[in-house]
Amino acid sequence: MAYINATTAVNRVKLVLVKYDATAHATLEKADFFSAANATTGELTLATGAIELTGLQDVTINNANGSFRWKTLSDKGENVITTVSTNSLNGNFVLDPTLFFGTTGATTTAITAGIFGLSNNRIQVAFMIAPSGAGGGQTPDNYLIMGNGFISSLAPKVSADSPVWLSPLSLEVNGEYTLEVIA
Amino acid sequence: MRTELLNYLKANLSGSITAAAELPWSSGDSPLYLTNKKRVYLAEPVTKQNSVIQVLSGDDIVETVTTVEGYLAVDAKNRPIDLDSALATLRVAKDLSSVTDSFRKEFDYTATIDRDVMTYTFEYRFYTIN
Repeated sequence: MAYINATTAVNRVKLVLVKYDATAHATLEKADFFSAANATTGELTLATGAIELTGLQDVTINNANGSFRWKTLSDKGENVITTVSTNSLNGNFVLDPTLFFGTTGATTTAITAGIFGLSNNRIQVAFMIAPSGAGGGQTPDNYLIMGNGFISSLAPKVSADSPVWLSPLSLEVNGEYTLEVIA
Repeated sequence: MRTELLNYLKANLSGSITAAAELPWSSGDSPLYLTNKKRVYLAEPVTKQNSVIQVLSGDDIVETVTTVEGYLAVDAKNRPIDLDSALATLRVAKDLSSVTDSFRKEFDYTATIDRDVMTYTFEYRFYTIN
């Protein structure tokens, strides 16, 4: 599978969060998160109040469908139907003071509240993850996976052997993912 | 790092063992610290970087280890009376407050005897995160 992170600076993974607004984010699209991407560096021009979560060490996109199985006397194998899915994003990241604590601590936007403020105040967020960058013009195309949910599982940790603050992070997704393709 | 260490050692090695500002260059086959015994010489710092935490955005967290080697030669037959206090001063120098941003500071030395000369080769290591 030729879908490799960071063959160039343009197609590195991007994860952007904004504070969820039920009206404005009824249908998620890329403009909710950024307006442009630099063709050389891949740097995003973020929407007002958005956070780009830098320092991601790893990220896992979970889309776990539920299932219901039943047996009949006439069939040799079990029947199955999928039910609602449990969606979440998990990862680990290096803490940046501004991103983690926010620019002011106010809960008006994601950037002012910071990751900690969004989690501590249980503020619903909309997110966009671009597994191979968001600049377009790539082969294969850039896909944006979007959704909304809540931050959980923060557990910042530091030790004498590892003096850099690291934390896991989960985004518990509320509902389904939305997919957008940027050719 | 060398400048801070040298300033400290010059100010605090005030007995028969003192610190020299010169680098430990060699004249012919003889290093300067063998020619001028009871003088502490510090070499130029050597820097090595390791990527300790890799991130998807490419801005890896890098650990920088700056190493400063030093030398001190003394008479092996007649041990200088202030050798122990000089070695203690060398050891304390790693905790200099003027060396900032370092989360780990290490110091060690080895002593070797060759004929009538005992040579202490010591090393300071300062770890920083960028």
